[in-house]
Amino acid sequence: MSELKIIPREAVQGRVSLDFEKAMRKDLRSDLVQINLGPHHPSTHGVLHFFVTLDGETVVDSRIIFGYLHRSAEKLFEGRTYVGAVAIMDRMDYTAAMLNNWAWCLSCEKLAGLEVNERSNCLRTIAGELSRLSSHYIGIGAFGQDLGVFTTSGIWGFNWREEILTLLDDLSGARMMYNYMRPGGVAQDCEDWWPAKVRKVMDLVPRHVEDWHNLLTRNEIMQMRTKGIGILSAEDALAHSVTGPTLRGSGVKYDVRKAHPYGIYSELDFEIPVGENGDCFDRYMVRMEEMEQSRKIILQAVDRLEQTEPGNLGKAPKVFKPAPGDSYAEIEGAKGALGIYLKSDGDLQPYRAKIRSPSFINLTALPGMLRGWKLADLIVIFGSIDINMGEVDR
Amino acid sequence: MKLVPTGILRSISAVTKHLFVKRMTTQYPDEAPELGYRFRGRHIFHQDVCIGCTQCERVCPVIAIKMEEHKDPMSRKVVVDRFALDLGICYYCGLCEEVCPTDPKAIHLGPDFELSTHDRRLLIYEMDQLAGPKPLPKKKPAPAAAAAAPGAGVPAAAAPAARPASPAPSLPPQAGGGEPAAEA
Amino acid sequence: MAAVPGALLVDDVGAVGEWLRNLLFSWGLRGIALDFVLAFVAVFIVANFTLLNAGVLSVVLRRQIAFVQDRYGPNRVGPQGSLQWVADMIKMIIKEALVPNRADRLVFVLAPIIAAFPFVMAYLVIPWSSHGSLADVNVGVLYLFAITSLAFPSLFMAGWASNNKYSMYGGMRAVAQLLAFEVPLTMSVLGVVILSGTLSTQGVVLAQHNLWFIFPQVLGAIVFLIAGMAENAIHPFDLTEAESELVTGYFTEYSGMMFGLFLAVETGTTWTLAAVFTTFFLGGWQPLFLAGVPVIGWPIVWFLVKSYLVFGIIAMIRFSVPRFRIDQFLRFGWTVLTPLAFLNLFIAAGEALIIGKVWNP
Repeated sequence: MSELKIIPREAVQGRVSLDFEKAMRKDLRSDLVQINLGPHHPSTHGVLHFFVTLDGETVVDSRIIFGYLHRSAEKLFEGRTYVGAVAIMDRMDYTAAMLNNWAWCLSCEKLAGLEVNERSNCLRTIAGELSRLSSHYIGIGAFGQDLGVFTTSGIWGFNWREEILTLLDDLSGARMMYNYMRPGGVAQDCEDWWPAKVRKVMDLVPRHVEDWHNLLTRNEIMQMRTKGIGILSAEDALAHSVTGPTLRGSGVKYDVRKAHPYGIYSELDFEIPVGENGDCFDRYMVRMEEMEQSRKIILQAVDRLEQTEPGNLGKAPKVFKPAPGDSYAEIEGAKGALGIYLKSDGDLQPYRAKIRSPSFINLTALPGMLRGWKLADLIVIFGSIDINMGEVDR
Repeated sequence: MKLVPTGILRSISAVTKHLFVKRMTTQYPDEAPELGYRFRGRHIFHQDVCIGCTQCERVCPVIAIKMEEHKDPMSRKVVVDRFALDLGICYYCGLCEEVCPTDPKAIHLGPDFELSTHDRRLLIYEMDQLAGPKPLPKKKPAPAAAAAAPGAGVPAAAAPAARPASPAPSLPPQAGGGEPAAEA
Repeated sequence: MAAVPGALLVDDVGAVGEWLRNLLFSWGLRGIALDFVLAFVAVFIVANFTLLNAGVLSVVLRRQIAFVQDRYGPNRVGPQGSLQWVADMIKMIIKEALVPNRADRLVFVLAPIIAAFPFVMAYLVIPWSSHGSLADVNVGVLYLFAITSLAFPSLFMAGWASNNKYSMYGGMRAVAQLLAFEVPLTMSVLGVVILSGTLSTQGVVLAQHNLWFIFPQVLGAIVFLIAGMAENAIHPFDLTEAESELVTGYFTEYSGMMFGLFLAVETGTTWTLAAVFTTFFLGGWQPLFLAGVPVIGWPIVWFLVKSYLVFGIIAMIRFSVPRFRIDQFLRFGWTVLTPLAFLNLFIAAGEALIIGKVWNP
């Protein structure tokens, strides 16, 4: 770490705390402490290494070192066909794998000019929103854990997620690495009892959200720890290309599902929750509201699904050679705008596939958000932007 | 802080209520976990059904399958001599099952997931280790009872009603009947 | 709360003590040897109880937290998992107790020992039954707080000697926190002392024979509970070992039996807090009903039941509330809790004045 430049105290701008100013007095000599948070750490949401410079308990500077989960996915894509690569795409953001599938398939369809019919779109919507729910269950559960609610909120999140994983297991055959969507449609149809089961599970969601509201939202200690902490202004967020609940918590009403609709989203009725201040509490509330909106979307999609003809999934070719060219398609992933850029040279396999990973880009905004806050706040702020290391490192 | 911290009291009461909720844990080795019937676990291979087209070997993204076959001069059919599957490298995507052209599928993924060994080489399963019950063929309609059972999961390989196949119309049309792969 | 005044309660522990004394006398022991053996037996029982209790409570705690989270908790070892602590203790004993390379070796090894001593010594003045406490000190309350204050150097020693920045942070926070909450802790109990007129813990319990002190001293009880949880670094005030931030805080570098000792002390002091709370505010061993039951151990049973109930409540608070940040917490301690403790003192003095005389039997 010899090339790390320690920022001189006088250069730190922005939100500084009282004891930091006292430390700038010439008569009180104190050293800056450099501490490694991670990669082995109970709360870095995966393997992430923070190199933090602290003055007492105040964060002066932080450097993020990632790459511990790098699996060279983009190189692997070049060795597999467009259909075979869907299984690798599952493993990027593993908490919301259906959404990764969707991003890839959307980009392939744009590249090859494939059409997706109504039933496949409904199934995709339901699966995608179920994945978003499961990702938020983990995200908020882990956020509660970072705040210190022992493991209660985390285990609740994982328990409730089990219901969703059972649904997706019935649909695709796997609990986490679904490999379900194909360019042009989906792999298999659902059973005829599946939509009713989805409705039953969706009835449980408001109860779970209410449990979390009781545990966390109205708790005074939680509000003291998250309100006004880690403020990301809208200008900063836009300058860093932050997307997803992190951006919406800062007050910018941008959601790919409304801005550039794909699938059947333009015909569904749902709202986009937006925060005001850009602090941790707003980001948390945005995620809680999004869970309710996902539930609404799923119920509407199930209604539409039951009106389509079972078994008519459209054409999803196993092997195809798209004409040379490139395409970029973006979806609203659980953590932000997930985009895939595909370049084809006319062969069976993509020439280049690049993932625009929302967690990776949101992470670049983090050092600015941390400056001036305490060590305890660092964990809370980092938990509130809810990243997934599978996506960051790919 | 307010005079009476009602939020904190609400948290404590919310947590206390969970003492009386039904447990979500399955006591695993004593109780069987509930798996969906489409669950993709260990493969099951049927040598008598396989026609030796090696589509599965070619579609596998990680080249986990290795087949050796010869053409029997008498019956002019392809006979599979060896079907080896490296379960250590397989990532259970199910593409081999999807692409298999025979009607009760010659290779399909069953519900067995207890595959741990002490040595990586023991994870290479040969034909005899990939035995299991045959799935119901697509062409005949599945019996009503089996199709309506949502979760049949039994972890042991000797599951009697392991894989009722879905009725014919629910699969994408190109995956059956030996239709060649469509070109876009 | 119609307990019979102290003189009529069956002195069961005294009866057992008499029987033992006669037994030893019949074996030929006399004088100092007799007293020494009796004292040794008594201390042996209590000291073992404290550590065994800490062990059993660790399992109870884990099962409680598991039930709150919709799961089972350890239920394999022994009936319903009750012997899990034996397995844990064996595991910790056979593990290597590492001392890091550049750690201050003497301080590092001394820290868990210094943490364990006050924990056991505090049990000497907690009154178990109508016979009284093990050591009939007539400044029992003062002794209690003096002894529990001895525990905090061990936190700081552990944090500093580990040669680890996380531990140092934990230790620093520990010093600030424990010092800050000593004041409300002792102040909140002064109200009880005023009402009972004596500093002896047995006297405090006897003074509650008409009314448990939690009713006239609600504020004191709440302040005592919060300050006691802060003193023992119990969640939600466990900033010294905030697991999500500092891994394990001041005892990150510990392993083997040294870690086991810290863990046992942590659970044990939670129970000590519950026991002390019971003594001061819930009437100690005073039965709620069926006072004159001539069963050996009846008051002890009441004492244990009340203490375990309070422990359960503390544990429930543990898993449901997020953690404070250190500066918010210290600000809360100095600006909210300490004035409340002083206010409580005035309230107690006012009550004593209005009633006219102290609650003495």
